[in-house]
Amino acid sequence: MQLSHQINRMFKTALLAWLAIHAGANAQPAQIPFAGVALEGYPIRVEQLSDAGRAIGMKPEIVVFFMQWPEIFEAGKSYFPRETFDLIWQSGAVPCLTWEPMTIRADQETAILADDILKGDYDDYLMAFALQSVRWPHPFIIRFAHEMNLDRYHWGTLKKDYGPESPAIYRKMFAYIVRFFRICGADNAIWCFCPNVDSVPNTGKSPQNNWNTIEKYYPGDDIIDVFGLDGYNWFKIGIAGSGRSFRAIFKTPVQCLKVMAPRKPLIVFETASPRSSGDRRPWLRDLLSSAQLWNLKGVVWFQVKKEMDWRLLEGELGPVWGAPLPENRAQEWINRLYYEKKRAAGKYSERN
Amino acid sequence: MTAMTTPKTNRIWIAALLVAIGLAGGYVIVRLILFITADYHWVEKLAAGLLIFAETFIIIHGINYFRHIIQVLSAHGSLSNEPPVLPPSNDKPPVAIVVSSFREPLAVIENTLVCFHNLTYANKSIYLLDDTRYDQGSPEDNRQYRASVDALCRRIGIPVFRRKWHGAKAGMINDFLAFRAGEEREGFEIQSWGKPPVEPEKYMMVFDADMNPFPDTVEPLIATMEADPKLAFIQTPQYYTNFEANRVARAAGLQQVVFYEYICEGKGIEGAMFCCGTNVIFRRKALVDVGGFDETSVTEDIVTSVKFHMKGWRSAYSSKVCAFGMGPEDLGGYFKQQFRWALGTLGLFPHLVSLFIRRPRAMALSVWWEYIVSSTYYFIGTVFLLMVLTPICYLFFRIPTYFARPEIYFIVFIPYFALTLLVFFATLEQRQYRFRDIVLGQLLIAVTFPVYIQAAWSALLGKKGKFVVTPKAGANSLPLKSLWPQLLMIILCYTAVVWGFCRTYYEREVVSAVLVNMFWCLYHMLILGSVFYYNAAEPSNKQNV
Repeated sequence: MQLSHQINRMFKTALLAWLAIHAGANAQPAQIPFAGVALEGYPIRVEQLSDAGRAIGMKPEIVVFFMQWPEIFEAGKSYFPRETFDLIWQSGAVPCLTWEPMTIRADQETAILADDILKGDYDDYLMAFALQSVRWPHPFIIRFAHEMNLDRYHWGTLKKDYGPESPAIYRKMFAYIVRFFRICGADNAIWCFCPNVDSVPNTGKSPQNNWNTIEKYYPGDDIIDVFGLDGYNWFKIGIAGSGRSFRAIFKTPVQCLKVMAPRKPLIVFETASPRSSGDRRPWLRDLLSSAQLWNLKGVVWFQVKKEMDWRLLEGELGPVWGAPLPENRAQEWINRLYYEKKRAAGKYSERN
Repeated sequence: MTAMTTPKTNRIWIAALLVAIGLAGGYVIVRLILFITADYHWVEKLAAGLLIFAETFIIIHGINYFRHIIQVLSAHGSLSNEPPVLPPSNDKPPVAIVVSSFREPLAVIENTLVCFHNLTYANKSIYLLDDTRYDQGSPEDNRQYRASVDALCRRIGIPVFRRKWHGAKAGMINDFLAFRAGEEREGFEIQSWGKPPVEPEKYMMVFDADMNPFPDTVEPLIATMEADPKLAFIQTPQYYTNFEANRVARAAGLQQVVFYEYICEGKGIEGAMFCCGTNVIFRRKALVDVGGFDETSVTEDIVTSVKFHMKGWRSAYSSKVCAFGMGPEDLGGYFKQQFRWALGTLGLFPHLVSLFIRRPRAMALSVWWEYIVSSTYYFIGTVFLLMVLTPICYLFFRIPTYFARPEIYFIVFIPYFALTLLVFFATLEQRQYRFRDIVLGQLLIAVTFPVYIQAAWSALLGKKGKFVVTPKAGANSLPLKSLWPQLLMIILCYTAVVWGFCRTYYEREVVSAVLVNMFWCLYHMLILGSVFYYNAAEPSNKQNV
């Protein structure tokens, strides 16, 4: 009698445990997002990576860097950032190239005109770049013309022409470039649409700026592989209300992107709160819980001193992120994404 | 091991092959006699008939394979795969090197064109035949693709030929021939970077867009063509570069080996080699003589080969590997490829039979035989299914299909089975292929059986089907539900084994017959189980160039 009672109880416990596990498995698992860093300068040096790793308390899983277009195209020259990509990939991270369609001479930024791109003036450069990407054996994220909703960049036009026509120009230019890569067979370029959290100029200041919203720039599901967002905590000492939490900065634009394409992976490619804001751990804890709540794939810290000192210090992020995570998980993720893309392109298995 | 080249070892090889052929033939004859003389119910006779059909099919193909090896032995004096010594050539007649491309990625075209450019044969003209359907798809895409192709060819200095689309690759090559002969047709367009010669080229070498030829490819082929004016074409092998990408790529590559190592060489010696569509050099005169490529069939290459042979042209095979391409890297891709090949080849079978009935004297009997045997090869799927089903039927329903006492079975079957397998692997080992690798290649064919069956149905019903499988998201394995035929057979084999075990225990009758059938079920179960091995192939992220 006692034995059957015991068995009965064991059975019930087992059932409850099974149910608990099962229920847990059904709920959306709160994945710890990939932790990345955005670094200044090009090419990236190996010390930059190790410094950044020390600062965030783990090996970066995404590394963002910046590159502009050349003023003059030279045939035979390699434009593809192969060494930097190799360095980043070998460190275990996914490289993300922020590809800025502008030239810089003596600190003077000049946006490349969309008209010239569409006319084919940059085809030689694009073809060289795309064919060189085909020969790189891994996938990479390409953040082309980011923060397009800021007049600071006015991609594809002169600053004075940044206006209601800009979103359409932007979409056309983006589609042209992605098509170019596709034609070349560079499926390993994972295209990212990465607006800024706030539009400038924006509707809030004047309703006539209502052309400048994120969704108007979106080139389309068939062109974009990954969503990105950039947003900072512009905290100023002594100015009340200037500090904002991660959640407050990103909530609205995250919702906006989720509505546009709920299934696209979303990564914050630039964020930071300045050193001057004091103890940053609460800000980071809010960052992590928000990122998990919104199911962000990754968060990239702007590990640069520019305008403000944003750089993380040892012991700030590491304890918040917690236990060590499986190595190369970001690379595995992007490999899968790439594999899907390659298969959708359908070329390799179609031929004999 | 180069010791295997003496006449004595050759005689041993030939003797072994002949004994294997004799045993295999003898086995079929004994089986047929038993089948005819035995007195059974018609259902059992039918089942037994199907099994005999399956076995005979395998043995005919097996014997033909051994025959090819004997041909290779007699012609080359050894089984080794030393590259054939081709005669030097003094003449350098003009050759057109062409690649037909249908919206291929530029990186793939670039690689191929650069390889063409690097061919050491001086008197060559390279052409890109851009077969992209600009009348389909979005105009914006098309415009950009076309401009990019032009830009690429301008940079490399290679002319692009385009025409009004009809009849896929065969149509494109015919149009190109007409264009080079000076014909002007509506839609012909040439973007001439580099200067094509005025006179049409005497020879034309055709590659698929993903093929990368070696620099020294052309010279020996030209020498052979020059030496024999009745030679219409020379086919060369098609091997894969992505051999090491993963297990599917490896097995797919190894499975090609059996075809290209001995079968093609044997066919070549027989004068019955057919064209496989890429890595092949044609004599222009011969193509013009047969009216160009056949545009009515999906397997235009083989149909055109038949036309050559019927008009008295010869064909040859050169085993020297001259170009590499890309093989499939997952089961889905492999199934698609095999479906296409199987459908095309099987579709040829009725065509060949009707041609044979109408004009039996148009080709030598041995050549007819080669074509017909080759065109039936992909019935292998149906045959395999029959072989899997018969022991299951016996164990469950006591349907005898063998009609013989186990002793006779052992006496006739075991020697044939053991020796043919042994010789099969030994001959491939002579060419440095390892036992394990060859087995992997053959297993992959076995698990593809549902695809071949579907292709056989489509071919017999005259349908132009397409094989559609969708792998799992983010991985290259197929979902289990799309592998249901393999799984069903595994389960049936397994339950039949269990059932057979019960029968031996409880019935204690015909124990040896039950055991033999249980053995076959286990054997087939293991073979089919390899589907899991292949389906777990890791994705390879190597680019396709």
